[in-house]
Amino acid sequence: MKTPPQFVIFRVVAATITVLILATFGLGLAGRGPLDGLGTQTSRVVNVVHDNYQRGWNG
Amino acid sequence: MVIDALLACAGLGLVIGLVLSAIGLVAGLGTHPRLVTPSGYRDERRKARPARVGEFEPDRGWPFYFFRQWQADLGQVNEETGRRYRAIWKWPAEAFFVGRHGSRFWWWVFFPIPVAFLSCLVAAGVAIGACYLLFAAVSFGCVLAAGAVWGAGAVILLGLDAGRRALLHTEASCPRCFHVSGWPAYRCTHCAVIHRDVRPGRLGAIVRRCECGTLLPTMAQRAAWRLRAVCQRCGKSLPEGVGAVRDLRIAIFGDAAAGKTRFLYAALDSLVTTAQRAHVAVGFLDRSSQDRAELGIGLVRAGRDMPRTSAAPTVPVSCQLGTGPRSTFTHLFDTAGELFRNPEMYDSLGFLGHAQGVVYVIDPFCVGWVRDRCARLGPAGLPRDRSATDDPEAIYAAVVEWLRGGGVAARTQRLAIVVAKADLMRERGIELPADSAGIGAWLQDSRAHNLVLAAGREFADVRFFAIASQPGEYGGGRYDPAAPLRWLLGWHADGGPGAAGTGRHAGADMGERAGARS
Repeated sequence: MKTPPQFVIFRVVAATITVLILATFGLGLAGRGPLDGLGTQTSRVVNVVHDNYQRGWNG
Repeated sequence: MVIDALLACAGLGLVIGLVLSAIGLVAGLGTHPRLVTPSGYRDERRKARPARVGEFEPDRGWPFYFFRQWQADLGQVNEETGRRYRAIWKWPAEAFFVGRHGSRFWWWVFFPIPVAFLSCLVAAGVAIGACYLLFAAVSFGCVLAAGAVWGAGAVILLGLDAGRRALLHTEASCPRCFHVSGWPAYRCTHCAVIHRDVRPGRLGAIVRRCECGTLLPTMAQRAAWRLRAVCQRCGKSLPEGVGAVRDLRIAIFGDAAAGKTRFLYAALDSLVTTAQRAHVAVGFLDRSSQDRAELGIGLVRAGRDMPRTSAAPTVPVSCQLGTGPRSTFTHLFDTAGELFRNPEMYDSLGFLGHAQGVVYVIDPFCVGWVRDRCARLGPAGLPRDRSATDDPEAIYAAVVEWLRGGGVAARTQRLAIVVAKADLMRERGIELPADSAGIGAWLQDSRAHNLVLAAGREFADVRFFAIASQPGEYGGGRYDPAAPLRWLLGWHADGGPGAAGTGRHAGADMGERAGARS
Protein backbone atom coordinates (compact mmCIF):
# COMPACT_ATOMS: atom_id res chain seq x y z
CA MET A 1 0.00 0.00 0.00
CA LYS A 2 1.49 3.29 -1.10
CA THR A 3 2.20 5.81 1.64
CA PRO A 4 0.25 9.03 1.05
CA PRO A 5 2.50 12.03 0.21
CA GLN A 6 0.98 13.92 3.13
CA PHE A 7 2.56 11.42 5.56
CA VAL A 8 5.92 11.65 3.82
CA ILE A 9 5.87 15.44 3.98
CA PHE A 10 5.07 15.45 7.70
CA ARG A 11 7.80 12.91 8.44
CA VAL A 12 10.42 14.70 6.40
CA VAL A 13 9.57 18.06 7.96
CA ALA A 14 9.64 16.70 11.53
CA ALA A 15 12.89 14.77 10.99
CA THR A 16 14.56 17.74 9.26
CA ILE A 17 13.64 20.14 12.03
CA THR A 18 14.94 17.66 14.64
CA VAL A 19 18.23 17.24 12.78
CA LEU A 20 18.60 20.99 12.35
CA ILE A 21 18.08 21.60 16.06
CA LEU A 22 20.59 18.87 16.94
CA ALA A 23 23.09 20.26 14.45
CA THR A 24 22.66 23.74 15.89
CA PHE A 25 23.37 22.37 19.38
CA GLY A 26 26.33 20.35 18.13
CA LEU A 27 27.84 23.34 16.38
CA GLY A 28 27.13 25.44 19.45
CA LEU A 29 29.09 23.02 21.63
CA ALA A 30 31.94 23.31 19.12
CA GLY A 31 31.79 27.10 19.45
CA ARG A 32 30.18 27.74 16.07
CA GLY A 33 26.84 28.74 14.72
CA PRO A 34 24.04 30.67 16.42
CA LEU A 35 24.54 28.86 19.73
CA ASP A 36 28.34 29.38 19.83
CA GLY A 37 28.09 30.51 23.46
CA LEU A 38 27.48 26.88 24.41
CA GLY A 39 31.15 26.08 23.60
CA THR A 40 32.44 28.56 26.18
CA GLN A 41 30.00 27.29 28.80
CA THR A 42 31.04 23.70 28.15
CA SER A 43 34.74 24.54 28.45
CA ARG A 44 34.04 26.27 31.74
CA VAL A 45 32.23 23.21 33.08
CA VAL A 46 35.08 20.93 31.97
CA ASN A 47 37.61 23.19 33.69
CA VAL A 48 35.59 23.20 36.90
CA VAL A 49 35.43 19.40 36.82
CA HIS A 50 39.21 19.20 36.28
CA ASP A 51 39.98 21.68 39.05
CA ASN A 52 37.73 19.89 41.50
CA TYR A 53 39.25 16.56 40.59
CA GLN A 54 42.78 17.82 41.12
CA ARG A 55 41.89 19.41 44.45
CA GLY A 56 39.89 16.42 45.53
CA TRP A 57 36.07 16.54 45.39
CA ASN A 58 35.77 17.45 49.07
CA GLY A 59 38.09 20.43 48.83
CA MET B 1 43.54 11.14 33.73
CA VAL B 2 40.62 9.05 35.03
CA ILE B 3 38.14 11.86 34.57
CA ASP B 4 39.38 12.44 31.04
CA ALA B 5 38.94 8.75 30.26
CA LEU B 6 35.41 8.81 31.67
CA LEU B 7 34.58 11.96 29.70
CA ALA B 8 35.96 10.33 26.56
CA CYS B 9 33.79 7.23 27.16
CA ALA B 10 30.76 9.43 27.74
CA GLY B 11 31.56 11.38 24.59
CA LEU B 12 31.82 8.14 22.64
CA GLY B 13 28.46 7.10 24.16
CA LEU B 14 26.89 10.36 23.03
CA VAL B 15 28.12 9.75 19.50
CA ILE B 16 26.80 6.17 19.59
CA GLY B 17 23.48 7.47 20.90
CA LEU B 18 23.26 10.03 18.10
CA VAL B 19 24.05 7.40 15.48
CA LEU B 20 21.47 4.99 16.93
CA SER B 21 18.87 7.77 17.01
CA ALA B 22 19.57 8.60 13.38
CA ILE B 23 19.28 4.93 12.40
CA GLY B 24 16.07 4.60 14.43
CA LEU B 25 14.63 7.71 12.79
CA VAL B 26 15.40 6.46 9.29
CA ALA B 27 14.11 2.95 10.07
CA GLY B 28 10.99 4.12 11.93
CA LEU B 29 9.97 6.70 9.35
CA GLY B 30 11.50 5.46 6.13
CA THR B 31 12.46 1.83 5.76
CA HIS B 32 10.22 0.08 8.31
CA PRO B 33 7.38 2.48 9.07
CA ARG B 34 4.16 1.37 10.74
CA LEU B 35 1.36 2.54 8.51
CA VAL B 36 -2.11 3.14 9.91
CA THR B 37 -4.10 1.94 6.90
CA PRO B 38 -7.64 3.09 6.12
CA SER B 39 -9.01 -0.33 7.08
CA GLY B 40 -7.02 -0.36 10.32
CA TYR B 41 -8.14 3.13 11.20
CA ARG B 42 -11.73 2.26 10.41
CA ASP B 43 -11.54 -0.80 12.66
CA GLU B 44 -10.13 1.31 15.47
CA ARG B 45 -12.90 3.87 15.13
CA ARG B 46 -15.52 1.17 14.85
CA LYS B 47 -14.23 -0.38 18.05
CA ALA B 48 -14.09 2.95 19.85
CA ARG B 49 -17.57 3.97 18.75
CA PRO B 50 -19.73 1.29 17.15
CA ALA B 51 -22.19 2.54 14.56
CA ARG B 52 -25.65 3.07 15.98
CA VAL B 53 -28.92 2.28 14.27
CA GLY B 54 -29.26 4.37 11.15
CA GLU B 55 -25.55 5.21 11.05
CA PHE B 56 -23.04 3.90 8.56
CA GLU B 57 -19.56 2.52 9.10
CA PRO B 58 -16.76 5.09 8.78
CA ASP B 59 -15.45 5.53 5.23
CA ARG B 60 -12.32 3.79 4.02
CA GLY B 61 -9.96 6.66 3.46
CA TRP B 62 -6.55 7.72 4.72
CA PRO B 63 -6.94 9.71 7.93
CA PHE B 64 -5.29 13.09 8.22
CA TYR B 65 -1.72 12.65 9.58
CA PHE B 66 -2.29 14.17 12.98
CA PHE B 67 -5.33 12.06 13.82
CA ARG B 68 -3.44 8.84 14.14
CA GLN B 69 -0.32 8.37 12.03
CA TRP B 70 1.97 10.68 14.02
CA GLN B 71 1.45 8.56 17.13
CA ALA B 72 2.27 5.44 15.13
CA ASP B 73 5.42 7.13 13.79
CA LEU B 74 6.59 8.13 17.27
CA GLY B 75 5.98 4.60 18.52
CA GLN B 76 7.84 3.06 15.61
CA VAL B 77 10.88 5.37 16.00
CA ASN B 78 10.94 4.55 19.70
CA GLU B 79 10.72 0.84 18.97
CA GLU B 80 13.42 0.86 16.29
CA THR B 81 15.84 2.93 18.41
CA GLY B 82 15.07 1.00 21.60
CA ARG B 83 15.63 -2.35 19.89
CA ARG B 84 19.13 -1.31 18.76
CA TYR B 85 19.98 0.21 22.12
CA ARG B 86 18.95 -2.97 23.89
CA ALA B 87 21.12 -4.92 21.44
CA ILE B 88 24.29 -2.98 22.36
CA TRP B 89 23.51 -3.52 26.06
CA LYS B 90 23.21 -7.27 25.60
CA TRP B 91 26.90 -8.30 25.70
CA PRO B 92 28.06 -5.97 28.51
CA ALA B 93 25.04 -6.83 30.66
CA GLU B 94 25.61 -10.56 30.18
CA ALA B 95 29.35 -10.20 30.88
CA PHE B 96 29.27 -7.85 33.87
CA PHE B 97 26.02 -8.84 35.59
CA VAL B 98 25.14 -12.40 34.48
CA GLY B 99 28.57 -13.92 34.01
CA ARG B 100 28.03 -15.51 30.64
CA HIS B 101 31.35 -14.30 29.22
CA GLY B 102 33.77 -15.27 31.96
CA SER B 103 33.67 -14.79 35.72
CA ARG B 104 31.87 -11.65 36.94
CA PHE B 105 34.49 -11.42 39.71
CA TRP B 106 37.39 -10.98 37.30
CA TRP B 107 35.46 -8.48 35.22
CA TRP B 108 35.00 -6.33 38.33
CA VAL B 109 38.61 -6.85 39.42
CA PHE B 110 39.44 -5.00 36.23
CA PHE B 111 36.71 -2.50 37.05
CA PRO B 112 37.82 0.28 34.69
CA ILE B 113 36.67 -1.86 31.79
CA PRO B 114 33.05 -2.32 33.01
CA VAL B 115 32.95 1.28 34.21
CA ALA B 116 34.10 2.53 30.80
CA PHE B 117 31.53 0.35 29.04
CA LEU B 118 28.73 1.33 31.35
CA SER B 119 29.49 5.06 31.21
CA CYS B 120 29.55 4.82 27.44
CA LEU B 121 26.19 2.98 27.34
CA VAL B 122 24.54 5.28 29.88
CA ALA B 123 25.68 8.32 27.88
CA ALA B 124 24.33 6.66 24.70
CA GLY B 125 21.00 6.11 26.48
CA VAL B 126 20.89 9.74 27.58
CA ALA B 127 21.62 10.87 24.01
CA ILE B 128 18.94 8.55 22.60
CA GLY B 129 16.38 9.74 25.14
CA ALA B 130 17.17 13.38 24.44
CA CYS B 131 16.98 12.88 20.68
CA TYR B 132 13.68 11.03 20.98
CA LEU B 133 12.20 13.69 23.23
CA LEU B 134 13.33 16.36 20.79
CA PHE B 135 11.80 14.49 17.86
CA ALA B 136 8.57 13.94 19.80
CA ALA B 137 8.41 17.64 20.69
CA VAL B 138 9.05 18.67 17.09
CA SER B 139 6.43 16.20 15.80
CA PHE B 140 3.94 17.45 18.35
CA GLY B 141 4.65 21.04 17.31
CA CYS B 142 4.16 20.20 13.63
CA VAL B 143 0.95 18.31 14.38
CA LEU B 144 -0.30 21.17 16.55
CA ALA B 145 0.40 23.75 13.84
CA ALA B 146 -1.15 21.60 11.11
CA GLY B 147 -4.07 20.75 13.38
CA ALA B 148 -4.78 24.41 14.06
CA VAL B 149 -4.79 25.22 10.33
CA TRP B 150 -6.79 22.09 9.50
CA GLY B 151 -9.23 22.61 12.37
CA ALA B 152 -9.97 26.20 11.43
CA GLY B 153 -10.35 25.27 7.77
CA ALA B 154 -12.52 22.25 8.49
CA VAL B 155 -14.81 24.17 10.84
CA ILE B 156 -15.28 26.96 8.27
CA LEU B 157 -15.92 24.52 5.43
CA LEU B 158 -18.27 22.41 7.55
CA GLY B 159 -20.20 25.54 8.50
CA LEU B 160 -20.42 26.66 4.88
CA ASP B 161 -21.53 23.20 3.81
CA ALA B 162 -24.18 22.92 6.52
CA GLY B 163 -25.37 26.48 5.94
CA ARG B 164 -25.72 25.96 2.21
CA ARG B 165 -27.58 22.72 2.76
CA ALA B 166 -29.98 24.27 5.24
CA LEU B 167 -30.63 27.39 3.19
CA LEU B 168 -30.98 25.84 -0.23
CA HIS B 169 -32.39 22.43 0.74
CA THR B 170 -29.82 20.55 -1.27
CA GLU B 171 -30.76 17.15 0.08
CA ALA B 172 -30.27 14.00 -1.93
CA SER B 173 -33.51 12.19 -2.62
CA CYS B 174 -33.65 8.82 -4.28
CA PRO B 175 -36.48 8.49 -6.80
CA ARG B 176 -36.48 4.71 -6.34
CA CYS B 177 -36.52 4.11 -2.60
CA PHE B 178 -37.68 7.64 -1.55
CA HIS B 179 -34.78 7.86 0.87
CA VAL B 180 -33.81 11.45 1.57
CA SER B 181 -30.41 12.17 3.05
CA GLY B 182 -28.51 15.36 3.70
CA TRP B 183 -25.97 14.39 1.07
CA PRO B 184 -25.54 11.37 -1.18
CA ALA B 185 -22.80 8.77 -1.05
CA TYR B 186 -20.16 8.91 -3.78
CA ARG B 187 -18.21 6.21 -5.54
CA CYS B 188 -14.45 6.49 -5.86
CA THR B 189 -13.57 7.16 -9.49
CA HIS B 190 -10.88 4.47 -9.43
CA CYS B 191 -11.92 1.60 -7.15
CA ALA B 192 -15.70 2.36 -6.91
CA VAL B 193 -15.64 2.09 -3.11
CA ILE B 194 -18.52 4.07 -1.62
CA HIS B 195 -17.72 7.13 0.50
CA ARG B 196 -20.76 7.94 2.58
CA ASP B 197 -19.68 11.13 4.29
CA VAL B 198 -17.66 13.48 2.12
CA ARG B 199 -17.95 16.42 4.48
CA PRO B 200 -14.68 17.96 5.72
CA GLY B 201 -13.51 15.76 8.57
CA ARG B 202 -10.91 13.30 9.78
CA LEU B 203 -10.21 12.08 6.27
CA GLY B 204 -9.49 15.54 4.90
CA ALA B 205 -10.69 19.11 4.88
CA ILE B 206 -10.48 19.98 1.18
CA VAL B 207 -9.68 16.62 -0.38
CA ARG B 208 -9.62 13.08 0.96
CA ARG B 209 -7.59 10.13 -0.21
CA CYS B 210 -9.43 6.90 -0.87
CA GLU B 211 -7.88 3.63 0.27
CA CYS B 212 -6.78 3.05 -3.33
CA GLY B 213 -4.87 6.36 -3.29
CA THR B 214 -7.26 8.40 -5.44
CA LEU B 215 -7.85 11.97 -4.31
CA LEU B 216 -11.53 12.83 -3.95
CA PRO B 217 -13.04 16.26 -3.30
CA THR B 218 -14.83 16.87 -0.01
CA MET B 219 -18.18 18.68 0.34
CA ALA B 220 -21.17 17.63 -1.73
CA GLN B 221 -21.15 20.83 -3.76
CA ARG B 222 -17.72 19.93 -5.18
CA ALA B 223 -18.08 16.16 -5.26
CA ALA B 224 -21.45 16.39 -7.02
CA TRP B 225 -19.87 17.40 -10.32
CA ARG B 226 -16.81 15.15 -10.24
CA LEU B 227 -17.96 11.87 -8.65
CA ARG B 228 -20.81 9.48 -9.25
CA ALA B 229 -23.48 9.90 -6.60
CA VAL B 230 -25.41 6.93 -5.23
CA CYS B 231 -28.31 6.62 -2.81
CA GLN B 232 -27.23 6.19 0.81
CA ARG B 233 -29.78 3.43 1.30
CA CYS B 234 -30.30 1.46 -1.91
CA GLY B 235 -26.95 2.27 -3.57
CA LYS B 236 -28.56 3.11 -6.92
CA SER B 237 -27.06 5.85 -9.06
CA LEU B 238 -28.37 9.38 -8.63
CA PRO B 239 -28.29 12.18 -11.20
CA GLU B 240 -25.25 14.41 -11.56
CA GLY B 241 -25.40 17.41 -9.25
CA VAL B 242 -27.54 15.77 -6.59
CA GLY B 243 -26.55 17.02 -3.15
CA ALA B 244 -25.29 20.30 -4.58
CA VAL B 245 -28.44 21.74 -6.09
CA ARG B 246 -31.80 22.53 -4.57
CA ASP B 247 -34.00 19.46 -4.30
CA LEU B 248 -37.72 20.11 -4.18
CA ARG B 249 -40.16 17.30 -3.54
CA ILE B 250 -43.81 17.94 -4.18
CA ALA B 251 -46.47 15.40 -3.26
CA ILE B 252 -49.81 15.61 -5.02
CA PHE B 253 -52.73 14.01 -3.27
CA GLY B 254 -56.48 14.00 -3.47
CA ASP B 255 -59.45 11.73 -3.99
CA ALA B 256 -59.52 9.22 -6.84
CA ALA B 257 -60.52 10.92 -10.13
CA ALA B 258 -60.04 14.38 -8.62
CA GLY B 259 -57.79 15.32 -11.55
CA LYS B 260 -54.37 14.89 -9.93
CA THR B 261 -52.62 13.23 -12.84
CA ARG B 262 -54.03 15.62 -15.43
CA PHE B 263 -53.04 18.52 -13.17
CA LEU B 264 -49.50 17.13 -12.85
CA TYR B 265 -48.86 16.86 -16.57
CA ALA B 266 -50.68 20.05 -17.45
CA ALA B 267 -48.68 21.89 -14.78
CA LEU B 268 -45.48 20.39 -16.11
CA ASP B 269 -46.39 21.32 -19.67
CA SER B 270 -47.21 24.87 -18.63
CA LEU B 271 -43.98 25.07 -16.64
CA VAL B 272 -41.99 23.97 -19.67
CA THR B 273 -43.76 26.62 -21.77
CA THR B 274 -42.90 29.31 -19.23
CA ALA B 275 -39.35 28.03 -18.96
CA GLN B 276 -38.81 28.14 -22.71
CA ARG B 277 -40.07 31.72 -22.75
CA ALA B 278 -37.59 32.59 -20.00
CA HIS B 279 -34.76 30.64 -21.69
CA VAL B 280 -34.45 28.28 -18.74
CA ALA B 281 -33.51 24.73 -19.66
CA VAL B 282 -35.87 21.98 -18.51
CA GLY B 283 -34.77 18.38 -18.56
CA PHE B 284 -35.77 15.09 -16.99
CA LEU B 285 -33.58 13.32 -14.49
CA ASP B 286 -34.26 9.82 -15.76
CA ARG B 287 -35.63 8.07 -18.79
CA SER B 288 -38.73 6.83 -16.99
CA SER B 289 -39.71 10.39 -15.98
CA GLN B 290 -39.21 11.61 -19.52
CA ASP B 291 -41.31 8.81 -21.05
CA ARG B 292 -44.17 9.27 -18.59
CA ALA B 293 -44.09 13.05 -18.97
CA GLU B 294 -44.16 12.85 -22.76
CA LEU B 295 -47.08 10.43 -22.63
CA GLY B 296 -49.01 12.48 -20.05
CA ILE B 297 -48.40 15.81 -21.78
CA GLY B 298 -49.45 14.25 -25.06
CA LEU B 299 -52.76 13.14 -23.53
CA VAL B 300 -53.38 16.57 -22.01
CA ARG B 301 -52.70 18.35 -25.29
CA ALA B 302 -54.92 15.91 -27.17
CA GLY B 303 -57.71 16.49 -24.64
CA ARG B 304 -57.94 12.76 -23.94
CA ASP B 305 -58.73 11.11 -20.61
CA MET B 306 -55.89 10.21 -18.29
CA PRO B 307 -55.52 6.55 -17.33
CA ARG B 308 -56.22 5.79 -13.71
CA THR B 309 -53.09 6.13 -11.56
CA SER B 310 -51.75 2.77 -10.45
CA ALA B 311 -52.00 1.95 -6.77
CA ALA B 312 -48.47 0.54 -6.99
CA PRO B 313 -45.75 2.40 -5.06
CA THR B 314 -45.53 5.95 -6.34
CA VAL B 315 -42.70 6.79 -8.72
CA PRO B 316 -42.02 10.51 -9.09
CA VAL B 317 -41.67 12.47 -12.29
CA SER B 318 -38.27 14.08 -11.72
CA CYS B 319 -37.16 17.08 -13.73
CA GLN B 320 -34.38 19.61 -13.63
CA LEU B 321 -35.07 23.31 -14.00
CA GLY B 322 -32.01 25.17 -15.20
CA THR B 323 -28.51 23.84 -15.54
CA GLY B 324 -25.45 23.52 -13.35
CA PRO B 325 -25.18 24.44 -9.67
CA ARG B 326 -28.05 26.93 -9.86
CA SER B 327 -30.58 24.43 -11.11
CA THR B 328 -33.42 22.87 -9.14
CA PHE B 329 -34.34 19.20 -9.05
CA THR B 330 -38.09 18.84 -8.79
CA HIS B 331 -39.75 15.53 -7.96
CA LEU B 332 -43.49 15.36 -8.47
CA PHE B 333 -45.21 12.47 -6.70
CA ASP B 334 -48.61 11.61 -8.10
CA THR B 335 -50.37 9.42 -5.56
CA ALA B 336 -53.30 7.19 -6.38
CA GLY B 337 -56.33 8.32 -4.40
CA GLU B 338 -57.01 4.73 -3.38
CA LEU B 339 -53.86 4.71 -1.25
CA PHE B 340 -55.47 7.10 1.20
CA ARG B 341 -58.52 4.96 1.64
CA ASN B 342 -56.61 1.83 2.52
CA PRO B 343 -54.66 2.00 5.81
CA GLU B 344 -52.59 -1.01 4.71
CA MET B 345 -51.14 1.09 1.90
CA TYR B 346 -49.96 3.86 4.22
CA ASP B 347 -46.43 2.46 4.17
CA SER B 348 -46.11 3.36 0.52
CA LEU B 349 -46.68 7.04 1.33
CA GLY B 350 -43.20 7.52 2.78
CA PHE B 351 -42.41 10.33 0.35
CA LEU B 352 -45.15 12.50 1.91
CA GLY B 353 -43.05 13.00 5.02
CA HIS B 354 -40.09 14.29 3.00
CA ALA B 355 -42.03 16.60 0.72
CA GLN B 356 -41.42 20.30 1.20
CA GLY B 357 -44.52 21.10 -0.80
CA VAL B 358 -47.86 19.35 -0.81
CA VAL B 359 -50.60 19.88 -3.37
CA TYR B 360 -54.12 18.87 -2.46
CA VAL B 361 -56.32 18.56 -5.53
CA ILE B 362 -60.06 18.97 -5.00
CA ASP B 363 -62.64 18.01 -7.55
CA PRO B 364 -65.28 20.77 -7.36
CA PHE B 365 -67.92 18.34 -8.61
CA CYS B 366 -67.80 16.50 -5.30
CA VAL B 367 -69.14 19.63 -3.56
CA GLY B 368 -72.80 19.04 -2.80
CA TRP B 369 -74.36 22.22 -4.17
CA VAL B 370 -72.23 22.06 -7.35
CA ARG B 371 -73.38 18.49 -8.04
CA ASP B 372 -76.99 19.49 -7.40
CA ARG B 373 -76.81 22.47 -9.69
CA CYS B 374 -75.07 20.52 -12.46
CA ALA B 375 -77.54 17.65 -12.14
CA ARG B 376 -80.35 20.14 -12.82
CA LEU B 377 -78.71 20.98 -16.14
CA GLY B 378 -79.60 17.56 -17.46
CA PRO B 379 -77.50 14.63 -18.68
CA ALA B 380 -74.73 16.96 -19.85
CA GLY B 381 -74.61 18.70 -16.48
CA LEU B 382 -72.13 16.44 -14.78
CA PRO B 383 -68.79 15.80 -16.52
CA ARG B 384 -68.70 12.75 -18.77
CA ASP B 385 -65.45 11.50 -17.18
CA ARG B 386 -65.18 10.14 -13.72
CA SER B 387 -65.55 12.48 -10.77
CA ALA B 388 -64.45 12.20 -7.19
CA THR B 389 -67.19 11.22 -4.82
CA ASP B 390 -65.74 11.61 -1.39
CA ASP B 391 -65.89 14.60 0.90
CA PRO B 392 -62.78 16.79 0.28
CA GLU B 393 -62.17 16.92 4.01
CA ALA B 394 -61.93 13.12 4.33
CA ILE B 395 -58.79 12.67 2.20
CA TYR B 396 -57.21 15.75 3.72
CA ALA B 397 -57.82 14.36 7.21
CA ALA B 398 -56.30 11.00 6.17
CA VAL B 399 -53.11 12.68 4.94
CA VAL B 400 -52.71 14.88 7.98
CA GLU B 401 -53.29 11.87 10.19
CA TRP B 402 -50.62 9.98 8.27
CA LEU B 403 -48.18 12.87 8.66
CA ARG B 404 -48.87 13.18 12.37
CA GLY B 405 -48.64 9.44 12.89
CA GLY B 406 -45.26 9.39 11.20
CA GLY B 407 -43.95 12.22 13.35
CA VAL B 408 -43.66 14.56 10.37
CA ALA B 409 -43.89 18.21 11.29
CA ALA B 410 -46.50 19.38 8.81
CA ARG B 411 -45.71 22.91 9.91
CA THR B 412 -42.51 22.73 7.90
CA GLN B 413 -44.42 22.04 4.69
CA ARG B 414 -46.29 24.33 2.31
CA LEU B 415 -49.71 23.36 1.12
CA ALA B 416 -51.28 24.36 -2.18
CA ILE B 417 -55.00 23.60 -2.23
CA VAL B 418 -55.99 23.29 -5.86
CA VAL B 419 -59.55 23.33 -7.08
CA ALA B 420 -59.30 21.54 -10.42
CA LYS B 421 -61.60 21.43 -13.45
CA ALA B 422 -62.24 25.19 -13.46
CA ASP B 423 -62.83 24.98 -17.23
CA LEU B 424 -65.61 22.42 -16.76
CA MET B 425 -67.15 24.60 -14.06
CA ARG B 426 -67.06 27.59 -16.38
CA GLU B 427 -68.82 25.59 -19.08
CA ARG B 428 -71.63 25.00 -16.57
CA GLY B 429 -71.91 28.64 -15.66
CA ILE B 430 -69.93 28.53 -12.42
CA GLU B 431 -66.97 30.89 -12.43
CA LEU B 432 -64.37 30.05 -9.83
CA PRO B 433 -62.44 32.96 -8.30
CA ALA B 434 -58.88 33.36 -9.53
CA ASP B 435 -57.22 34.70 -6.37
CA SER B 436 -56.21 32.68 -3.31
CA ALA B 437 -58.48 34.49 -0.85
CA GLY B 438 -61.44 34.20 -3.18
CA ILE B 439 -60.96 30.46 -3.63
CA GLY B 440 -60.55 30.00 0.11
CA ALA B 441 -63.82 31.85 0.67
CA TRP B 442 -65.49 29.79 -2.07
CA LEU B 443 -64.41 26.57 -0.33
CA GLN B 444 -65.64 27.86 3.02
CA ASP B 445 -69.00 28.66 1.47
CA SER B 446 -69.00 25.18 -0.06
CA ARG B 447 -69.02 23.51 3.35
CA ALA B 448 -65.28 22.86 3.33
CA HIS B 449 -64.64 25.49 6.02
CA ASN B 450 -63.09 22.90 8.35
CA LEU B 451 -60.54 22.06 5.67
CA VAL B 452 -59.68 25.73 5.11
CA LEU B 453 -59.32 26.47 8.82
CA ALA B 454 -57.40 23.29 9.63
CA ALA B 455 -54.99 23.74 6.71
CA GLY B 456 -54.03 27.19 7.96
CA ARG B 457 -53.28 25.75 11.38
CA GLU B 458 -51.47 22.63 10.28
CA PHE B 459 -49.14 23.78 7.50
CA ALA B 460 -46.47 26.45 7.35
CA ASP B 461 -48.16 28.28 4.53
CA VAL B 462 -51.34 27.65 2.58
CA ARG B 463 -52.46 29.10 -0.72
CA PHE B 464 -55.53 28.33 -2.79
CA PHE B 465 -55.58 27.94 -6.57
CA ALA B 466 -58.18 27.23 -9.20
CA ILE B 467 -56.78 25.54 -12.25
CA ALA B 468 -57.90 24.27 -15.61
CA SER B 469 -55.72 21.57 -17.09
CA GLN B 470 -56.06 23.02 -20.56
CA PRO B 471 -53.25 24.25 -22.85
CA GLY B 472 -55.16 27.51 -23.32
CA GLU B 473 -54.45 28.44 -19.73
CA TYR B 474 -50.69 27.91 -19.90
CA GLY B 475 -48.12 30.60 -19.24
CA GLY B 476 -50.00 32.84 -16.83
CA GLY B 477 -53.67 32.32 -17.73
CA ARG B 478 -56.45 32.87 -15.19
CA TYR B 479 -56.45 29.18 -14.28
CA ASP B 480 -52.83 28.39 -15.15
CA PRO B 481 -52.12 24.83 -13.89
CA ALA B 482 -48.47 25.68 -13.24
CA ALA B 483 -49.35 28.42 -10.73
CA PRO B 484 -49.21 26.08 -7.68
CA LEU B 485 -45.85 24.67 -8.79
CA ARG B 486 -44.44 28.13 -9.38
CA TRP B 487 -45.53 29.15 -5.92
CA LEU B 488 -43.87 26.08 -4.39
CA LEU B 489 -40.73 26.57 -6.47
CA GLY B 490 -40.47 30.16 -5.27
CA TRP B 491 -40.14 28.94 -1.70
CA HIS B 492 -36.56 30.09 -1.33
CA ALA B 493 -36.82 33.35 -3.17
CA ASP B 494 -39.91 34.98 -1.82
CA GLY B 495 -38.81 35.50 1.76
CA GLY B 496 -40.65 32.46 3.11
CA PRO B 497 -39.26 30.17 5.81
CA GLY B 498 -35.78 29.02 4.89
CA ALA B 499 -35.31 31.88 2.42
CA ALA B 500 -31.90 31.82 0.88
CA GLY B 501 -31.45 35.54 0.65
CA THR B 502 -28.61 35.35 -1.81
CA GLY B 503 -29.37 31.93 -3.25
CA ARG B 504 -31.23 32.37 -6.50
CA HIS B 505 -32.42 29.27 -8.19
CA ALA B 506 -33.89 28.38 -11.48
CA GLY B 507 -37.41 28.05 -10.13
CA ALA B 508 -37.50 31.59 -8.78
CA ASP B 509 -35.51 33.11 -11.61
CA MET B 510 -37.78 31.58 -14.16
CA GLY B 511 -40.92 33.14 -12.75
CA GLU B 512 -39.31 36.55 -12.62
CA ARG B 513 -37.87 36.42 -16.11
CA ALA B 514 -41.10 35.14 -17.59
CA GLY B 515 -42.98 37.90 -15.76
CA ALA B 516 -40.56 40.55 -17.03
CA ARG B 517 -40.96 39.38 -20.63
CA SER B 518 -44.72 39.27 -20.51
